[in-house]
Amino acid sequence: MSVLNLLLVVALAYVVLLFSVAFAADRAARLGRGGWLRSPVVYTLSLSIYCTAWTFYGAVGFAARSGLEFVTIYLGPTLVMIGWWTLLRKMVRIGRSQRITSIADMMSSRYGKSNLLAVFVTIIAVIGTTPYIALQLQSVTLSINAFAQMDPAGGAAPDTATTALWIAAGLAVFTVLFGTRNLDVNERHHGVVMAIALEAVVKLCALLAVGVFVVWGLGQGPGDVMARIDASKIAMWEVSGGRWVGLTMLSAAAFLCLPRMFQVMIVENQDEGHLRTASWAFPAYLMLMSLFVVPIAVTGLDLLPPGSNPDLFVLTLPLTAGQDGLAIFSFLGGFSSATSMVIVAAIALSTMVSNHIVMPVWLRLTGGTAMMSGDVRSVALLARRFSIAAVVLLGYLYFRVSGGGAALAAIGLIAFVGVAQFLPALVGGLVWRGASRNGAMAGLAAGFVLWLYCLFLPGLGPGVVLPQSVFDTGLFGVGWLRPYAMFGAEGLDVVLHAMLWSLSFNLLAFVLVSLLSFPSPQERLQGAQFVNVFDHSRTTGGWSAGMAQSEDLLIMAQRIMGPEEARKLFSRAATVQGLPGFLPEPTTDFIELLERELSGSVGSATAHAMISQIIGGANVSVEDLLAVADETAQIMQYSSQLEAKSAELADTARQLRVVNTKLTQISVQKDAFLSQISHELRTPMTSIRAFSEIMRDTAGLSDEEQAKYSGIIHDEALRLTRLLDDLLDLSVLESGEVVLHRREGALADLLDRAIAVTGGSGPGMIIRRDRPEEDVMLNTDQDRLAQVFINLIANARKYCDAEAPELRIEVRKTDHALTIDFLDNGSGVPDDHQSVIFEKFSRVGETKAGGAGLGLAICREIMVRLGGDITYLPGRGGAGFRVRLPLGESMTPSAPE
Amino acid sequence: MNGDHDTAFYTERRTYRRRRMADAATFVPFLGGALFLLPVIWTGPAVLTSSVMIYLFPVWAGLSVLSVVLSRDLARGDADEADASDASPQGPADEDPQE
Repeated sequence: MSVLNLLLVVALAYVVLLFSVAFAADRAARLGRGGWLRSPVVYTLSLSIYCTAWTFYGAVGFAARSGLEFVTIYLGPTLVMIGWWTLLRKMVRIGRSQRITSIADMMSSRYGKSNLLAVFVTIIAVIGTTPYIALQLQSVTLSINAFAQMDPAGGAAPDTATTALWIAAGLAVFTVLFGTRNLDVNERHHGVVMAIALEAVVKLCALLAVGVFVVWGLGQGPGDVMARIDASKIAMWEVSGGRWVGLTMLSAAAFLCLPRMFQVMIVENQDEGHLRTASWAFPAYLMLMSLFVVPIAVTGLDLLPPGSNPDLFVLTLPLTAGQDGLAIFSFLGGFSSATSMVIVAAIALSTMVSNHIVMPVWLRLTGGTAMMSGDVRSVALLARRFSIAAVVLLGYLYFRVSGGGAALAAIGLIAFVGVAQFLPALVGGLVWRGASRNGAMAGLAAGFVLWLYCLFLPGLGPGVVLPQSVFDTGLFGVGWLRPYAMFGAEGLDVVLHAMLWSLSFNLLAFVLVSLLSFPSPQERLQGAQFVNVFDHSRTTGGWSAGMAQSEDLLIMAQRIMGPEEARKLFSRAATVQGLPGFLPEPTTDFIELLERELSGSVGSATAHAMISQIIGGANVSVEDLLAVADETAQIMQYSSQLEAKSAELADTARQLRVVNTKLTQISVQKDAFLSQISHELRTPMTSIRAFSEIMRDTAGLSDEEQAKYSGIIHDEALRLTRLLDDLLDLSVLESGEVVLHRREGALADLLDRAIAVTGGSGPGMIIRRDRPEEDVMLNTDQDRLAQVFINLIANARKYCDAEAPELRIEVRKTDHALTIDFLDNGSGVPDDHQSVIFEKFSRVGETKAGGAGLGLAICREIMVRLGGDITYLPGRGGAGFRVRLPLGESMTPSAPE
Repeated sequence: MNGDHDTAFYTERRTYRRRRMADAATFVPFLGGALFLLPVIWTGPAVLTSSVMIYLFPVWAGLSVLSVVLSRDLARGDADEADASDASPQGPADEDPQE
């Protein structure tokens, strides 16, 4: 039996063993006997998927080319692990409290359960991981070929493509079988993890065995090997400081950000305490993995013919030494490294793809009714299975297309730089509450683009995507945009160069945009939850149910978690709430719990969306709460508008009341006026009737008597006429229908006229005037104003009871008005009458004058029409009236002489 | 639970020790980083890869051992007061990666 055939048999047996271990572990876990499956040791060993075939075979090749530099790939993770207390513990705590399913889910959840961000992270992860999967396939085919070449039986090397296809298919089957047994990632993949732990042991033992063989079998112990190292071409310590520091940091970043590492470290973690063991055990594991790398490398360089592939020294050294058993063991180590990486990477990526791309699309396509349409659970599982197959297939295609050349070997570091782009947003989101979704997107975008341009695309070789001219003269001929010498940074190591620029711009964009953007409430809530996870690891907050239908929730949960699991969860919750049966009240706590459980299956963004659908009208998230707050604000605004309107109404009502009162008053006044007027009319009418009856009925009246009576009748008729004239005048004035005839005239002339009409200044009444002050030109209705003056002078004549009646007319000008005071020396108007003298029919006592009491009322109306007024001046010794005319259009001072 | 820490100025000896262990756990990766990067400044002409190996691997193993000690101490503390362990050392620890 040739070595090659033996190898295939052993490999197949090994695969069968892996399947059985995985199956047994799954079974044990299902039967509840899986306690031992979950020891810290298994957790630590599962972390070893960090050591892929790239590190298993590649580390030796790396060392053979550039000495001890390979060790930086292990130093970074070592630092991260011994610093577990600071960062990893926090990530694990968050992962557990938020039911995180993948790194994309973690970032989406941190930045407000944004699915857009998750999609972005998923895409970067797929692009960064696919070549890495191809690399694993390549390493397995290469190692099989190595056996074929060494085979003394001379068996033809199997076709690499066929080998790779078979391996890819086997891996896909294994991953689908054990990776998608259940949907809830938080129930964890016991079988897979157990198989990986076994593989971890195998690869460590294989490498150690080869190391021991090299040091004590091929060499003569450590001293001899050290001497061999000193004599080799990598004897001198010529590591570039930049690369040493840069690669250490890069590997630390990648350790945190690689989707597969995130899967085993955070998602599959069952107990925070496991970190404690891993914190020292994993560094020790890494140290052991790298312990014999340099000895193997220098021995290979020494013993094997020049030109041998140093990447395969681990295999070819035992093979050439005739140690077929050891070689096969070594092959199994490499095979384990490759397969475990592909399996976990496929699980991690498929979770992301199905949760963040397939499920949201499916939910949208089916109208977003998680409750009514088909079985979400089967859809999610199917999506995940197809995603696994697709991811592995992509890796295979990449392997075929790239031709499996040396270019592929460089892909390890290239992928590291790619996933390291997650670091600023990931760690920033854990320590900085101000980190925002837009910042994370901007940082990722900037870093991703630079990574593509500076490392990934150029790595495919000139002319594949980027033409040679871009390498020589830069994009668009801009020298600063040469992919390997951005911004004039020439002579830098390619990886270091890309890492420097991509992470710098990533961080810069992340911080700047975070500082400038304003995160949504959901984002800020999640940010606080992540950053302060140790203060309150429980609440994810946001759900305020009450209207949610427990039954609907159960139906949905059944579709996602499976009927049994869902019923168990619900009845447990009901028991906790102290309710009979298995339908709990949809309390906030319960819905939060349910969302976390569901997000374990379909990711936080999708779970949140699905629960939102069911809770529907009940307000569900902070965003909704805020929307409600907005509504409240609107209502408040509306009510304030209403208030304003009602105030307006009240105002109008008040005005109406005032008007009403006025109308009532007017009506009362009218009644009073009518009674007054009828009284005023009756008095003269009575006289006229009485005397006319006497003249008619009494025969033989003397001429004298006749003349006297007809004189009385005539007087009364005149009085009646005057009264009616006055009334007419007043009504015209009051109705505002009076037409004013404005014209120019001197005040003095006007007064002259008025005095002349009323009898002039004489012994009956001495009128004193102030001629110089009267020199004012007026533009007003001269006749009406004269009427006022006449009335006032006539009144003075009538009512002044002084022995030597005297009327002073004083004219005074102020800025805005002209006042003309009429002051007599009589006893004046009694106090109690002063307020009513301007009312109609008010007469101060029954005096000789026999006026109708309309004169002053008419005067007041006239003055109002002329824009001025007339007031009584009390306390002037006698009666005093002040006529006030506005200065302005109505009058102009006459030109100075 | 934060309040306890703020008000209790003088804590129990054991609590105090445990918190210093947490500080140390925060500090260790920086120490490790410095130790790992130390060979970078060995720029002399006759520095051999083998001598760097003889330096590096013992340091590596030493860090692992240190981590064993620290995590064991922290484990004891955690078991004693699972809640309180988180509140105080985490504050400053969180800030470190930003600096």
